[in-house]
Amino acid sequence: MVNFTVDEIRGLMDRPSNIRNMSVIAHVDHGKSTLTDSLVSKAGIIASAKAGDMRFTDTRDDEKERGITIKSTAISMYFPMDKEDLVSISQKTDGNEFLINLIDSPGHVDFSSEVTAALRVTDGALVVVDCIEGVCVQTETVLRQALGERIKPVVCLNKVDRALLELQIGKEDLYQSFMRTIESVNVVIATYNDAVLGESQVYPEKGTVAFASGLHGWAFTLRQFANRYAKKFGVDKDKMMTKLWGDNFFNPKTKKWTSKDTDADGKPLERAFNMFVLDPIFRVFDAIMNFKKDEIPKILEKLDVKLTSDESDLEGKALLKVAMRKFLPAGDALLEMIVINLPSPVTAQRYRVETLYEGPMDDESAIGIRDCDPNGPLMLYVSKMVPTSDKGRFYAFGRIFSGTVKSGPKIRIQGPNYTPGKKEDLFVKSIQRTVLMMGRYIEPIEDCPAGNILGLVGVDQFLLKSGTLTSSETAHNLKVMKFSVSPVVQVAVEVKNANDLPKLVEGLKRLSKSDPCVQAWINENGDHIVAGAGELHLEIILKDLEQDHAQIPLKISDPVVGYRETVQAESSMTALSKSQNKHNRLYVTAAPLDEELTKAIETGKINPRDDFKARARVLADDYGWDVTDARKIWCFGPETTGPNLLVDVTKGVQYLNEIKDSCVAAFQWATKEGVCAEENMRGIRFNILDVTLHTDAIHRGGGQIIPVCRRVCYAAALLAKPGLQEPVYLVEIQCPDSALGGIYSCLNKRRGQVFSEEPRVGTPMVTVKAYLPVSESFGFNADLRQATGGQAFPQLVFDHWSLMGGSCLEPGKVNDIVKSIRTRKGLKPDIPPLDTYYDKL
Amino acid sequence: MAAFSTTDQDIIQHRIELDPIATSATSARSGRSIEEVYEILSTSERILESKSKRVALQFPDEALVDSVPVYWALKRTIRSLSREVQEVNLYILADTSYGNCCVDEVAAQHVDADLVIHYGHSCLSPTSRLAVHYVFTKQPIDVSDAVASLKREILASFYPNGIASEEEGQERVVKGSTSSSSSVPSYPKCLVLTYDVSWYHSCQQVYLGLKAELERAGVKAPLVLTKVERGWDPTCKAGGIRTERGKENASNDCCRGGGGEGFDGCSSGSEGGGCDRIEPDLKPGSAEEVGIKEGTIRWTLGPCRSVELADPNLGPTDCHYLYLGPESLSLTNLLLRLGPSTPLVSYDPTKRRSRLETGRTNRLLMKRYHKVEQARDASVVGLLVGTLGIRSYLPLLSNLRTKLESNSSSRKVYTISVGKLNPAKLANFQEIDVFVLVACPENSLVDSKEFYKPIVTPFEMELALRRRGEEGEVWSGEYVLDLERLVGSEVEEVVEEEEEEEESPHFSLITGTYLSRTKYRNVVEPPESSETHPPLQGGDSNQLTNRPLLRSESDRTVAMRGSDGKVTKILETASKPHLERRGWKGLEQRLGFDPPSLLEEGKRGIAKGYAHADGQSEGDLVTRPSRA
Repeated sequence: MVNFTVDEIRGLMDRPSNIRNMSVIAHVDHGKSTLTDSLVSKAGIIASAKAGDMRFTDTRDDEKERGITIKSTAISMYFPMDKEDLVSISQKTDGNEFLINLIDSPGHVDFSSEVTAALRVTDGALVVVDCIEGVCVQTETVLRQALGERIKPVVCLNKVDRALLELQIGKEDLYQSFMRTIESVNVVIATYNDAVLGESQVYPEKGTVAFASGLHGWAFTLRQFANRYAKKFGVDKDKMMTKLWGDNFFNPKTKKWTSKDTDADGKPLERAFNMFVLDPIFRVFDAIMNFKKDEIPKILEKLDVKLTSDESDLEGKALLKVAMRKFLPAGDALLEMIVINLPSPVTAQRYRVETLYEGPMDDESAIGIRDCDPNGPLMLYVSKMVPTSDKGRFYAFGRIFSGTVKSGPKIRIQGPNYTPGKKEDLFVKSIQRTVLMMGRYIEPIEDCPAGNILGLVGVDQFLLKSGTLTSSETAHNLKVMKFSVSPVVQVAVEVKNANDLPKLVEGLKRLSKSDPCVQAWINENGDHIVAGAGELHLEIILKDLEQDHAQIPLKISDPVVGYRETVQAESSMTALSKSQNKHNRLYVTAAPLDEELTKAIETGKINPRDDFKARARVLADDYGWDVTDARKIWCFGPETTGPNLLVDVTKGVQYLNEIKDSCVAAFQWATKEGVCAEENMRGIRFNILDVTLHTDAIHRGGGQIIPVCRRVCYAAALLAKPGLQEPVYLVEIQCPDSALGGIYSCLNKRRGQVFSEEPRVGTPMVTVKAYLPVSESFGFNADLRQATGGQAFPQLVFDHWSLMGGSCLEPGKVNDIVKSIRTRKGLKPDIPPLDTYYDKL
Repeated sequence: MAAFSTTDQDIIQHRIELDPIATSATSARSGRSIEEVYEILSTSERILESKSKRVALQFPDEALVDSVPVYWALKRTIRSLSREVQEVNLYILADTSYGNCCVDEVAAQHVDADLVIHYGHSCLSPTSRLAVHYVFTKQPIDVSDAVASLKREILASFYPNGIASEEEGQERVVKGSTSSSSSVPSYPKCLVLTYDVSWYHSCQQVYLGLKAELERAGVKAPLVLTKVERGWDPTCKAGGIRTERGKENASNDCCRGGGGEGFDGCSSGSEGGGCDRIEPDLKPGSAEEVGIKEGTIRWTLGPCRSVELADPNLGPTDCHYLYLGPESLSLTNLLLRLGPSTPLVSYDPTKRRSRLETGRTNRLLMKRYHKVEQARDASVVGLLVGTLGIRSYLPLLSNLRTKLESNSSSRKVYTISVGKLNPAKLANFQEIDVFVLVACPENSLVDSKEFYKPIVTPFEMELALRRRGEEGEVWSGEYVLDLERLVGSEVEEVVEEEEEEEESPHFSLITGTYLSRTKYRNVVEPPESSETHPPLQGGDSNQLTNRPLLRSESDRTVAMRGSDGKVTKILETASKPHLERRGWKGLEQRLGFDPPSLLEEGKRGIAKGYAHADGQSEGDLVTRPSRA
């Protein structure tokens, strides 16, 4: 039975130092949901016998069927802690009860956006790593994201049972394997760690690493064992913990600790971890799995494990599960680790405020967030929308960083495009209800103070996916989340029955609400486009669209990949175009931008809002730009933030300022619809070399300048060896080395390039990393499964844009692609000739 | 002067793009006689019959070369035919600035003409004031080739399984359901032959030839020829059939007077002039629809173009269509009218080939659908006047304006007349999000990528105005281009919704995000002024004549002072926020950069001769030395 009440939880909400907001993150199939079950069962929400099989946080039918998590699910739990353990907590606490708001997230790369949304509202992360597979691509991705959000990680090495039962490796080998895995986690952490977060690397001897079997429902940290042995050895618990890891050996004869692996006589000594931690576990496994009936009770007694009579009748794995669960209950170990090592909102918000808030650090909102002040101005970030049972309505799921939220008073709902002082994307409304998210259920609560995670009713019609809620008129937005995946695969959906079109439109709206990563829009040709991160993602969302959101039969086109247009050389001559009245002339050249710089713009490292002088400095120092040029960047495009630049390199042109607005508008237009295939442009620098303008203002107005500026950009691009860039996936495949042949042949067929092949020490597994063009990736999964007999399971994540060999203008592959895109878009198949845009003097 | 206008040289050197096909059909080029090409005799009769005193001859650019010979020929013929002493005055007009298919009523009224003879291609849109007589271009056609080619294509496209299976198929359709014939590849119940007006002269021949051919091939569906009204007289109040009908169409036994009954006072404009096929629940038996003959049905297929069928149970969508003419705006227009599910085979006499027009309509409609969505997102709308001749353009403009400014829409509307459209002209209005082109059906579809902002048709704007979830929010192929019908689709002003609904953003399919449109409320009238402004005259022009005065409370309102200095009204303007978004705002103020200085009195007076502070005028300065 649930061993806490909503009132108890509500009571704890007022004590933010006893709250832990945490997400469970990992690579796919490393056991997040299974491990989460142990905590859920400890809270009494599910029976402990079911923990490990139930996957309580997988709420959707397809999640259960496929055995993967698709949506992140939040659950609030109440736990009392032993008073003794409280001393180990270095941060301030208030009583021994704790509220844990846990979010279980999906592990498949295609659903990374769910992870991002989960991380935003939490302060700590439980990183689950399969102790056999080790650190995988998604482990690294989620860790990087967590650290970027200043989220403190603790690690849990999962599936230890497999190591014992299937691999049958020895104690020392197991220790070595653990150590390697932890080391590789620490390498990732060290690479991406934020200095403000302090030491984030994980160490078993500090209790920040747990070893677990989610499936069997047991787990331990060295703290548990240190507890056991501290009394026996008469040493301090913390000191005992350090002894239990690393090169610490115990000489049973001399009863002395040493750091050498041999004793005075040169005889090998057993590592303390192996001796005190692994040995009991190995013995339980050995006794139970080898049916040593008489030994079992002895060992169990020694370990203080008491079984009921029913339980002692069990045999084999069933008995093992029960025994281990009693010996090392997973819930306790994880709970302890979480409560002791992860920060409370009070602790975390102090250092997170800088990365969370867009405004100045000394305004009332920033101070409210920093202090996690329930009486401060309301600052709440909605990170995603969760569908309600009422079709078409959503709970806004978010975290209160400051103030207290309740239904009634009017608050400001600020969308992602809100700018302080403006009215765009701002609504002043009151919240209808506040609810507690409890996995499959919700519980209404009256109000909710800072530091908590909750759901809101009545906000969904004002925010599409995410946004900031505040009571302060001066508040800036909380920073918009940056996703690690981008929707690169598109399909066109069509209704089978024309009368269903309104339902499709409504369905698309709901779909894009329900998933942080999905985009839905109409293209120039009137096709309804749905874009997702990958094949699996698209499959899931299209099913959702058809069955849930729109509930109408749909026709779905083959997936289509978006390309980018770029140039490969400096324009061979200066492009010239004249305005319609022939009185204004623009001279422009195009040149490729550095790929490094292009990426920096895309990631926002260099952005249009930077101070132009500071930006010019960076461009000059890091990217070899001329400082004067760098100061005269007119704009970024498309959408004013894209990776193309319009640079004014003119000398002493009169009225130039006057046409800047028109040029900026034209540039957005031109870069959005490139000259070759009307795809977005990418990585192009347009230089305005010279401008001749009519002396009378009326003849150099927007009407004259906008069309000519667009045309001259096109002409310049056509003169600069236009090319195409295609999106490329990073593929990671783990498989036994016998399947390598199949993988290679599969990749070769699809223009894939293997760039790394690493055997995993101690296992027959190999990790293959390769680049695979997105356009070739459709059906790759199925093909690979076939070629390898189902042994290889790839993870594909968008990695970069890659320039395709060849020019758009010369016959060849690139030209063919351009033609096919143009045909699809209903354009003339041939690229317009230069003289469409280039005017003779 | 050169600073303010382009030089005269430009006008002289300006090259007009002529349609080579139309040029080749002129008398000067083709070598055929003026009398034949321009139907001098019948035109003269028509002029005399109408008792017109002043007649305007409107030539397209291509035919201007023939205008003088035509003028003389007409003069001559009229003189020889007429027994009256009084001369008929003829005037030569060129095209309207919007296109050659429409009648230039304004120019004709300059000479106070009472009849316009329109030469060349025409969209046959009804005019509001003047009587019109159309003389179509006569393009050459190889009748036997047209018949053969059309027959081949009909058999291949409409009867893919051969004629024999037709019986079977028909039955299946009847048995299955009577509601829709679009799902199953249905066999035509009726074939309708329609044509570009340039081939009007030979349509009868093609019709007869094809009819014979099809009967020989065993096609059971009847072949029907559409009828085109060659004249139009807005003053005629004859109700159904125009008086001249018997004479003009003696050979063609034709139609109801286009949109004639639109003028009998009541609100039947929508049913009269419009394309009836779009009535979804078309009742074949209604008095409006039944034509002259018992048991027949007639519906119009665009202005002045109609079809008469023997079977009253057939609707326009039940027929299959044949089209005579090259790919043109008229064909596109017809395809849109018919919708994507109605099959049409076209024969292009210039290229001498037939084809089934498939997919094109659908794709075109999809593209327009995108534009509708863009219009839905627009806060500021520009109504572009693209015609001055079509009867219903003024009511339509005011109708659109009312709808756009209504509380449920709250869009800012500007009415703009710029003559012939080009990207440069429209890009001058940067604050406008979408343009609505009110023009004749053939000119209102602008499908060009060169324009900075989308241009939609009035019908599309009306679609965009419908609220999501509302009945008819999405159109399933129905497409209205007739202005008349749109005027009729009248103002069922949506009842005021609750505030809540109003303010919430809508999901924009263009950006894929939530979008909240800027709402522009109607003029907030201050207490003193109670007069209401008529929609077409109010608004913008006043803004220019009165001195705007900024009001602090809102960022986009402008208050106006009347002549008595009182605030007479407060306008919301889209230009102000736009101006604020711009980086360059005119002359720099350089606040804080220049040291303060004393005010000095500057020049005074008018540009011709400024008076200086010291009392000398600029003119004086020049002349003074000589005086001294």
